[in-house]
This record gives sequence, structure tokens and C-alpha cells, in this order.
Amino acid sequence: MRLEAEVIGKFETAGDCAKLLYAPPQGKLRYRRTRHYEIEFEGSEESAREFIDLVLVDHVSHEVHIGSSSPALSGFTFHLDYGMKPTALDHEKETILRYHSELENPGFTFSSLKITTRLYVFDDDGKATADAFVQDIVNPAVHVWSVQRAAS
Amino acid sequence: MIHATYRHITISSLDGEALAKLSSDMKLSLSREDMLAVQAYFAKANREPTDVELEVIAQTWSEHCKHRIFGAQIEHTTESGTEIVDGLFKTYIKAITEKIMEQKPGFVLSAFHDNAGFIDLDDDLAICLKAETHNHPSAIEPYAGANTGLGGVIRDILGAGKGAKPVASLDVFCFGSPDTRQEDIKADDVIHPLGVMRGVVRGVRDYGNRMGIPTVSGAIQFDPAYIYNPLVFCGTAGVIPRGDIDKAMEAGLKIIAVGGRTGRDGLHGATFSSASLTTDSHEEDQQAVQIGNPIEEKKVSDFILDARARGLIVFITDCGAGGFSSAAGEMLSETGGQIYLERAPLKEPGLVSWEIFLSESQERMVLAVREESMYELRELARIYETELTDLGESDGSGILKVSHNGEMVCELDCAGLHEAPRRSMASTHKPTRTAAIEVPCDPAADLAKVLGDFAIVSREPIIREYDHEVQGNTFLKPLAGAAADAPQDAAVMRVDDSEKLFSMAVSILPEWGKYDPFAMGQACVDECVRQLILSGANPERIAILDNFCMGNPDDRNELGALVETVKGMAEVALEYQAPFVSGKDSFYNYFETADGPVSIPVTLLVSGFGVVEEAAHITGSSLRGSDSVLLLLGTTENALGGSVFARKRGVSGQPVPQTDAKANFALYRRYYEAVCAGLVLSAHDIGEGGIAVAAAEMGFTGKHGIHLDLPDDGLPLSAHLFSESTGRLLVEVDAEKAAAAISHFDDFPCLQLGAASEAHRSLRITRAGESIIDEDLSQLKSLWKNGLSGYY
Repeated sequence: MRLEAEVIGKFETAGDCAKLLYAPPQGKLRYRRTRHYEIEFEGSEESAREFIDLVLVDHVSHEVHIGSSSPALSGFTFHLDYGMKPTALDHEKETILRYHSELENPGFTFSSLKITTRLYVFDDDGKATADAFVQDIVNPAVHVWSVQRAAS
Repeated sequence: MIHATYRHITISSLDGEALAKLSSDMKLSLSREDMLAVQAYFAKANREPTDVELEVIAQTWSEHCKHRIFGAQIEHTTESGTEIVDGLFKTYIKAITEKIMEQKPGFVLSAFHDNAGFIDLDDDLAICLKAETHNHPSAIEPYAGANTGLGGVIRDILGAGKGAKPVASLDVFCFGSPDTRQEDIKADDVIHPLGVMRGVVRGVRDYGNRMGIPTVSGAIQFDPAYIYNPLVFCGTAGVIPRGDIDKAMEAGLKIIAVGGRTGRDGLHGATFSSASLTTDSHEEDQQAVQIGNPIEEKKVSDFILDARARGLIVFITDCGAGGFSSAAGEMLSETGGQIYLERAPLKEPGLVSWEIFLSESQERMVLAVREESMYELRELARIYETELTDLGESDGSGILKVSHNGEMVCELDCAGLHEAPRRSMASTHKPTRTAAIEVPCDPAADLAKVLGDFAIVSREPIIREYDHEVQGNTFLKPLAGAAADAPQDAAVMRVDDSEKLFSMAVSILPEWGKYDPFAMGQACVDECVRQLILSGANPERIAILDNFCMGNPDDRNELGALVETVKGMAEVALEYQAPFVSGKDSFYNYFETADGPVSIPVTLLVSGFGVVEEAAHITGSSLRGSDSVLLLLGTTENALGGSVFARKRGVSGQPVPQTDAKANFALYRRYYEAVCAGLVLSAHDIGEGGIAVAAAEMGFTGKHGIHLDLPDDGLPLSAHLFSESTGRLLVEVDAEKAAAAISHFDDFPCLQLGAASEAHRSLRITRAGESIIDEDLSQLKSLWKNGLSGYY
């Protein structure tokens, strides 16, 4: 079975993309970042949802969207998802899996866990492309990544 | 049961070319001559090697681990003729230290044979320092590369003696300018210097801060040559009871591993760092990038320090380059022994034998302990939540034996393992012709340009990333003064259970080396020692480290620059009686662009540490008095070569300042006596940017103005203001003690240059009554203070 979850900071506002790039972008671009988790598991879906809600989310500062594969934010021009390569050590993943392995009767077992940072870019003109972001943010030595444009 | 996964490699029937190709295909970084030596070794043993054995030899003989270039015989040609250098290390580093140790018995307690060198602090304690580079991994993945660079040098301290306690760190970086235009980067897949800088700074931050070790000293140099090959130097100081320095292996000990598990991250790190980078390096060499876990290392550190205090450690070393192979190889080099790879705890299944033995997964230490200590050690491991594994044992065989699930995958004679073929090399050096001229300057405008140059601007945005006060022993912080933002010449650390303190300083001047590498070598030692003395260190109790980075050592001219740098460095170290207690080198820092290779300039980092006898000797570098007198000690030359001013103005062909080591050290000794006599309020090193910058920096406390009156002595104004001549100090003395201070320096170059003032908050420089500079210090400060803010 499969579940997706996207964790968003409640108090974050859109930042200036110039802070992310080495050269100023064309136009006034803004960004927001979320964490995206893709879990494949066996066992109880309810237990898996509960685990996500209790372990991956801080309910003071986060809100979470569980179960939907649609992006949690709207109005974006594209989103860039990037995360550690399967062969590279991902501390967050290791910590989650280790914590889960120490639980008594968690109700489900992980088959796989993929964690990515989802960078939403907002461009009022809708023309911005991801090339500069991929070049300046993603490191092909340790990351895998994908870009999804908003449906027009 | 899983069987060992290894294979035999046929080399007996290969010719030299085929052997070289095999080395390249297996990424061994062994030369044709090396491979022929390997072939001869196994011909004598009458068998083919296993892949594990080839990997072990490759790692042991790698430049990173064996320092073969510093051990090579070099035919060095200059205008004076040709000389044979019988090993740079033996001739110019070890020999210097040995001479100094004869002249100063009891000061250096250990040098060159342990993971760090130790000097005497007091009757009970010793201190050590180690600095290493992590250049190639940081070019590929800046955050992880720098992160593990610091982690690795911290482990060196944990592996020094029977386990020294890490107490302070330093970091020195060389980057391309953060404002480099993308179109000026002539290769694909090269991370922009701004990205490298951000990643590296954060990587070092996240390791040191999380381990609770203060980062207190450092430097950053910016130059286009470092776009493709950034340099990341990380160093750590440690403290140990004197009785725990000496260690010796014996037969019959248990070999145990503690810390993290073993995985595929970091494979081929030692051989990777001994090769040049190309555009393909990002994809192909990803495995060579280790991933760090500082919390794991903190647990290991706590375990080791407790185990050492309980007398449970006979021998210890860290798992660094080459992983278990280098740790076990080093540890078992005299006794021989057996390692059982199936016992190594793994991060993931399916690692083959050589991967387990050569993995450079982080946060692992290897110890040799007595069997009867195992119960207590296991209990300590449980308390500190770190994993302990019985990996094998030492015996008296003299053979390194490695088995995997009952099958022998490596069996090497330890003596033969460390006998890599000696290299023979050739170098050339032709000095640059220079002629000192009077370079005109617009003093105020040039001062503004120099203060705003990346070489000079405040490093505060980066310094503030590092916790420089954790452990509560930082006495003189990197930034101090009334507004806590003025740069200090060095950091000073208290030591628990000691009345003594120690200071740490660094010097790196690659711009000088482009024109006069000998002068650069001299100046780096001079500046480091000067800064230590300015921070209160006793001139007679200073030790230094040398860390070299260069491009292509197979290029005669580049190697010639290295030889000259080493000679200059050695000359001054001997005169200053400052022994080398450790050092490292990093070669092949060149990048194959589409336009040809781009090498870094020969880059020397001299880091040092010195004993501060009393806290009262620490004066800091920021102006204290409202009417105090400013003295210039030392002599200013008309030598603008290598200066920030000359580079900024595009002035070339100028002589680089030469160092009169005898005169300088005599002056420093006399200065120290003045400090001990209570004559000094504060003092600042005159380095990059010259007197104008030094005075401005002293005035950045914002409490007082400064007036300097330059002598009308025929020296060009630009030289007075911006020359970076060595051996100079700007010293603040109380007005009432000025006469006594000047008298104290009677036989030395000492000029009453100016005074602090309560009447204004400006930097006013005059000459023969004529105003040269009259600028508000707060405006100068804002040029200087915000230089990096937009980038970090």
C-alpha cells in the first residue's frame, strides 16, 4: 500500500527566490518549501496515518496533507522535488526507520520511504523555468530530483 | 552462511601498460612503477593478489596516506643551479623539528608518528593540534565534504595518544569569489562558488556545533583559481594528560571498533583525493563523498574519553582515509594480526569484502585493548549508546590477515605493505623579475576599496554560524572589542585543570605565492607566530603545522614553487624555534576544463598554537584607551607585491616583502617582555591591507578616533599605507607609560605613530602635517562589516 504526506509550515510566508539562486532571476519570483513523504507499507493504513501524524508533524507549527498525491499548495508555476539518492545516507530517513523499528506493535511495516523537499516557485507571469533552480540547488552527486509544472 | 565476496586479479602476466590500465580501471591511482612493484611482491609470494589486497595497497600507497611527493627525491633547478632535495619532509620539516627538539628538550612531546603532535602545557597536561584538508569531497558535495572534513580531524584528536579531548576547532577556506558570474565558470557541473561557500560553512557548522566543540579560529581566501578546486582546511586542538600520550601495540590484544556502522559511503576516498577533478567527477565519484553524523561521533568521543580515563585503552586510531584498512594496517604494522570482516556491523547488506575493509564510513574508531577490559568496555558502550564490535586480534606474526566468513581475503606482510617505491621528480623555479616603483594612490578611495575587498571584509556572518563558546573555555573570542565585532589576531582557550591557557592562529597568503613562493613560505610562519605572540603566547613555547595544497605536482614549475615555499617556511621556523609537530598535503587540485587544466596556486596554511602563561598577557586587538599612544614596531618596506592593494589596483611586477627572520623574532621577544611588564594595552598584527586597515580595525570598537602621523621618510605613501611587510605590530600603550614603552624598544625599529582620541570618531592619517585620510570610522566600518552579508 502507498501513502503520500506533505508537511507545510503554518507560519512560513513566501520568500524571495533571489536568496536561493546565485544570479538574480528574471522577474519577481517567490518560493515556499514543504516536506513530502512517500511511504510504501504493509499492514494497517490507519496505523500508518497515525504514525505520520504523530511522528512527522509538529501540530503547533505544521499542517499536514495525508493521502493525496496532489500538491498541497496552489497558484504555483512549478515545483521542484529533490531528495537524497537511494545510495546516499539520509539522516531523517534513518532516524524515522530506526524509531519505527523500536516501536512495539506499530501496526504496519515500511517497504520503502522516500523523502523530498518540495520547492514551489510562484511567478505571476507563469513563465519561470526550473533550470536555474536545478543548477543552483540540486547537487547531482547526492540528489535525485523532478520538476512538475502546474497544469495550465 | 554468506560466503566471502572477493576475487583474485591476474597481474603476473601483464606488462607495464596493462598494469597501468588495470590501476585506472579499478581507480587505484597507482602508477605504472607502483603496479610493477606490486607485481614483483606477488611474484615473490608465488600467487595473484585478491581485489582486497590491491585496494589495501592502493590506499596505503596513496598520496593522501603516504605523502610520496614530500618523500620523493627532487632534482630542483633554479638560476643558481641544480640541487637534489632528499625528501622535502625529511630535509625541511622533520630535520627542523629535530634540531629544535635538541635545543628545546621537553617542549615537543610527540611529533609525526601519531594522529596529532603534542607540546607541553604544564606538569600534568599536554596539548595537540591537527589540521587536514577535505578538498575534493567538498568540491563534489560542499556540505557533506566539509561536514566530514571536520568530523575526520576531530577523530584524529580522539585517536591521538590514548584519546585526547577535542577542545577547539579552526577552519580555513579558499573559494572562488561569491560574486563570480556564471559565464565565467568554464565547465559544466561545477558548483558555483557561492553554493560551495554556503555548503562548506554550514557543513562545518553542523558538525562542530552539534559535537559541542567551539570553532574559534579561521580565515577565508577568495581567488578565481579556487572556483574549480575549493580548499577546505579543518583543524582541531586537544588536551590530554601527559601520561596518556605514549602508546604501543603488543601481540595478544583485542582489536575493537566503536561508533558508526560500515557502508558504501566514502569508498575510494583516499585514492579519489589523490586524483584530479573533471566534469564527470560529480556523477562518477559520488561514492567518495562521505556523509557525517556528529551525534554518533559525540557518543564515540564520550566513550573514548571515559575509557581512557579508566585506563582501558592500550592503542587507538581513527578510521579515516582507507577505513579499517588504514586503521588496522597502522595498528598492526608492527605486530601483525587478524581481522574478521563478517563481524563488522553494516549499514546495508551485500557489501563485498573490499568494500567492508576500505569503506570510509564516518564516526568509527579502532582500539586495541586487553581481553580483560572487554566487559567494562561493553558496559561503557551501552552507557554511551555506541556500538562496540570485536573485530579481531593482534598477534606476533608480522602479517596483516583479513578473513571474511572463514576465507582469507587479504594476507600482506606489514613491512612490505609500507615500502612504497620512492618517487623521483624534477622541479624548476625561475623567480619573477620585480622592481619597486612608487605606486601612486588615492588614499581615501583606495582604503575604501581595500576595506570592501573580499580579502578584508568582516567574516562576521560566517563566524556567527559557529558556536565559539561551547564548553565555556573561550577566553579571547574571534570577535571582541566594545561592540563584540572587531577581529582579533588569534583565539585563546582556557584549559580545565590548568593555570595555563593556549592560543591558536592561522596564516594563509596564496596571493604572495603567485610571485614569490619562498617569501610566502617565510611570511606564513612569521604571521602565524606573530599573531600567537600578540594574543599572549610565550614566543619560546609555540609550535606550528604545515598544510600544503597545490595543483599538478608533475608540472616542474608548480613543483618548483612548492619546493621554494617549503624552503622559506623552514628557514623562518628554525629561526623562530617553532617546531613542526604535524602536517598534511593535498595534491592534484587542478581541474580539466574545456580550455585546459586550471591549477590552484601553491597554497600553504601555517596553523599554530602556543602556551599563554597568564591571562594577564592577553591584551586583544581593539583600542582601549581614549588618549593612548600608538606605536609602530617593525620596518615598512616599499614592497607591494602580493598585497590586497596591488591586486585591487592591478599593479604587477612589485617585489613581495621579504622576511628578516632574525630581526623579526628579536622584536617579537622584546614585545613579549613589554607585555609581561604591563606596558601594552592592546596590539594588532599588521597584515593584509597594511597599516591603514590595521588602524581602522583597531578603531572599529567605535569608542575612540585614531590619528596617525606617517613619517616623511621618502617611503612612498602607498607603501606606508598598504604594504604588507612582515614583522610589524601596531601597539597601544597608556600615555603615561609611553616613554617607558619607547625606551623598552630602544634598539628596535619603534616609531610613535599616533594616538587614540576622544575628540572625534575618525581615522585621521597625516604626513608631515598634511591630511592624507580623514574618514569617519563608522562609515569605514560599514564598508567592511557588510561585505559578505549579501552572500551569506
